Amino acid sequence: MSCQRLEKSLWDAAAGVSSPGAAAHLSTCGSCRAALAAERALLDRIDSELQESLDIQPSMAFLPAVRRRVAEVRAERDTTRRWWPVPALATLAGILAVGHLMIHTAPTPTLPVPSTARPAEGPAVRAAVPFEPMTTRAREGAPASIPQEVAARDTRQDVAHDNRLETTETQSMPRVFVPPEDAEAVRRLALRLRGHAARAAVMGPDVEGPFDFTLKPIEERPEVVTVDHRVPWGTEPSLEEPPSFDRILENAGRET
Amino acid sequence: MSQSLEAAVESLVSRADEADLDVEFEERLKDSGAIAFRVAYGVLRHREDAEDVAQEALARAYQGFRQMRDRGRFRSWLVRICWRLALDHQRAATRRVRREQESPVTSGPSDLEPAPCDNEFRARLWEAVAALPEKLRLVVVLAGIQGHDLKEVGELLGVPHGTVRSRMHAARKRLAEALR
Repeated sequence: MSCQRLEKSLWDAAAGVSSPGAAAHLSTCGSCRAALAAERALLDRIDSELQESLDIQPSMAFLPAVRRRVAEVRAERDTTRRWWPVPALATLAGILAVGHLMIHTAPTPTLPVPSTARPAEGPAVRAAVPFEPMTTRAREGAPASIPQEVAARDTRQDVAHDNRLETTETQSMPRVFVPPEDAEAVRRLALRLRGHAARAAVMGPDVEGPFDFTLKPIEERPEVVTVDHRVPWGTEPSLEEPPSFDRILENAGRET
Repeated sequence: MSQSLEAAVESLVSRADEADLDVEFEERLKDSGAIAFRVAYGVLRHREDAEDVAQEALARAYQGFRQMRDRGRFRSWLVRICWRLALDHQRAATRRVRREQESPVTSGPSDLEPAPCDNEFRARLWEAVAALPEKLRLVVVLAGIQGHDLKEVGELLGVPHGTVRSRMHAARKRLAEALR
């Protein structure tokens, strides 16, 4: 083996992994023996420096500090163990409270209640208010009955509705009234159409133009149907010929 | 047995278990506290930081001590926690230093600065150790701590003796090349 070849495996030789060829060469070559010795010295120094550097003890305050920290951890754990039901119960109570609120503040049936917040509908409608109870040819001559709202009524909300009727009577939003005998039919219609986007165009005898509204069910409260007014008075009539109210009622009655 | 008595007994047993656990942990702490510190020091080369990291590692070890099945492996487990925490600490310090250098405000000496070395060779050696891949670096540090008992290093790392030897061989070779 030559000196050049040994140089490549010098480190292995220094680390104690040498081949028989390298050993033979080292026994005859003084310079390679010197290089090997230098390499071994370097490795020894590396090892000893590492060992010396790491031969270090923590300060006297280390173990007491660790014990304090461990005591903190223990105290936190004990506190958590003792008080864990509190946040759990608080969370549960919160969930129940929110659920209760959601149930009791579910949207009430909203009728097209006029408000100053909807000024666009105001002036144009005011003139058209004298809206008579819906009559059909068959009911002509019947005494004008107390108006009832088209929307199926939530009996629990009757008082509120009546109040609202009174307060809005003088205002200009279009209201749809039906005779009491028709209310049930409309209610059935609304229920029948539950889950569909039902639209009915109703032509009143004294009304010019269509009156569009949507019967919209409130989820999980099938008995409550809101009337969502879409087209205020004075807007362009629908191009489609709206079905007559009688027809709608008739179809609804047949389907139910 | 009435319910209240049963609860009281259960509470007493639980407290006794806790006490036993604490006694056992205290023994482990005395036995392994120093190695935790040294492992952290091998990464951070800063006494106070190493103590902080070792302290945190021991606190975490205490948290998990109850669930530990094989408590004979505590030392090796602690070494790994400590190593990981020390590396995290070092990376955080590196990021902090980088931010400080980027900001116009000059600051005092950083945490990253290792303790001053006694000699130039040692400084170069630790630079070379820090440049080693993580697996090799851990073996070098543990071997330095354990007085090059590679068998014990293997047990600490949970790797075969041959693997430790080959890693140590590769690490020393790289160090020698860097320092030659």
